Amino acid sequence: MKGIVFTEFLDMVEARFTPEVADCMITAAAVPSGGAYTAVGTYDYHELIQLVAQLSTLTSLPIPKLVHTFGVHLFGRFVAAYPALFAGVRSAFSFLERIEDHIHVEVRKLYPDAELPMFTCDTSTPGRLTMLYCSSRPFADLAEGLIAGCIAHFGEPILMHRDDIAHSHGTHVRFVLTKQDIPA
Amino acid sequence: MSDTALWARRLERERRARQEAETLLESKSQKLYLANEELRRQKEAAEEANRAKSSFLANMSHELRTPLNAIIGYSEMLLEETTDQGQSAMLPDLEKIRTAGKHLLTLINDILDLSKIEAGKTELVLETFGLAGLMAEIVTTIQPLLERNGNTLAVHGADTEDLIHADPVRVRQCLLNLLSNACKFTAHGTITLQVRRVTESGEDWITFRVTDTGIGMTPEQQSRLFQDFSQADASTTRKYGGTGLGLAISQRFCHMMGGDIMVESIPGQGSTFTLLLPAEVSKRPPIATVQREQKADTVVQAALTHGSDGQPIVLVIDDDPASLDLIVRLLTKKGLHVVATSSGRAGLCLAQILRPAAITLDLKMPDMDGWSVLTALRADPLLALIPVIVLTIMDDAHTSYTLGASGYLAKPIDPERLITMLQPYIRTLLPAPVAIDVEASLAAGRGQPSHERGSI
Repeated sequence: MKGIVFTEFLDMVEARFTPEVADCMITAAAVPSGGAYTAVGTYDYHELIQLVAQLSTLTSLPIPKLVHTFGVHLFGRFVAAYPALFAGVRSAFSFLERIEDHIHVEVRKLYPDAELPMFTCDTSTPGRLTMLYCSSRPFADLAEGLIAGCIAHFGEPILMHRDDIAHSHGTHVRFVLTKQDIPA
Repeated sequence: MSDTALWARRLERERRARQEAETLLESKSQKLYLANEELRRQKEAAEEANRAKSSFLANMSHELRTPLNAIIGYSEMLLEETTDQGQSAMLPDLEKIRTAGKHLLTLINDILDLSKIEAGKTELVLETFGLAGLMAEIVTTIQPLLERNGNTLAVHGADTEDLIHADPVRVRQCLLNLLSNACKFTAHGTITLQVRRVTESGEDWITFRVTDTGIGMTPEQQSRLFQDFSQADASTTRKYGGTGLGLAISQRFCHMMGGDIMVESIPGQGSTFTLLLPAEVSKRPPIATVQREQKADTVVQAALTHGSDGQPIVLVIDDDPASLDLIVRLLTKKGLHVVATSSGRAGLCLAQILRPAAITLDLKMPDMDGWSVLTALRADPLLALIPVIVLTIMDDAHTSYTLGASGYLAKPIDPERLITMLQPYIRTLLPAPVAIDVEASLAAGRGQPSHERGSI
């Protein structure tokens, strides 16, 4: 997993909680990297799972909620750090549809070793976007948070419904996004 | 928990992260250096292979021309003798041999020209000569081709006393190529040859415009026009013949002289080819040519596309190929007639020749920046009223307006805003406005800022 996910996660924990909480979390997680992350590095995704688990223990907040919140935060950071990705994109649906064919293509150019999830989009129903999230790692909560961050960024009235595919444990999830201003 | 211990741990993590980042950066830099070295080696190998190919072609072409000259010469001699002896039955066959031989010779000469240019063996022989004499000679030479398809030639500006310092053989070759193309693709129509001197930023240019009333081309066909061995399309080659090398060679000669060839065309109505040359061609490769070699597109890489007949022109000046392409596509999609160039200097020259309805102008350009282009436009009484929309990544709307820009848009460009800003100046082309902001129109007419008021 790319280092930027870890550095952003630590930034969020320090900002939303305190530097003490972040330090306790890293110490308790005892991750191999020691919590020394650089945005351009690559780290084992299990470290993030360990960190989130410790954060949940420290704050008594459920893991899915923490990961979802991180997804929303991460999207905001993407907006600030990569404005070119948003050039000419006017709606949440347009942006989300570009993830697989544009954004992931660009990410792979810079980081050929990046392990990215796959998003399959279906727009056959007007006013509705169905996204199938498939990953080798259980980060559907993170994907959900990112999608929520995207919807908030574009400020559109969109309702998101999550449908976990049986026994996938957060690796295969269908997100159904429905625009609220178009009658079903 | 002690604050000191916490910050010490944090500092240690940051230090280790920095060290890791430095190691990664070093490793990436090394990989990048090796990749660049490999690319340089491959580029040199490709250039060497290309030189070898060109050299082979040049030698082969020379070897082929010798026997071919004999075939043509003897067929002509036989034609004369057979005519003298009254053996008319053999005349058509002999004529076919001569025609086929000449066609083959033209093809070989073209290949020889192209391979010489590619091998860097073409030298310019620069002379100062009169445009009037050149035009008279060309008109005489092209006469048989004109008559073949029943065309007439109108010449404007041939009475000029202007001189040009260039390679007369190459200029003549380029002009004859444009005129012979016009003759080939026009039947019972009019071909116009116009010569003009224009001055831009203290530099004199000579423009030759060859206009025909022939079959014309679509924008897609135009895009392939200057490629080697390429014509408008395969059916053109079948119907009209030719090798598809003439224009490519002419354009390369023009580039060598620091000029260019531009095309405007409307399918079914005709084409205009503009040959642009410095009045004083320099032996030393012009800066623009050097840049072109580096960037494959510089001096006046003009791509023209069309809406319907009579539409005013929007001139797009931007050195970034991607940005240029994007703007051209956007405006073309709106049915506008667009002329594009990647050079500020060439943009000025085109502005004087074309007198566009509006100009979009980038600021950061290598040969002449947007500020200088804008200042020169506003200083020229003939160009001062042309509205200029500045499109740039630089955040300097104030300076743009101070220098006389009519509008300002930051990149990445918002297509709708660009169209909205252009609308007052090209409104006849776009969907009819519901109401016109008179103030904005007046401001546009004076070349005054109409930033947000340009909407109609």
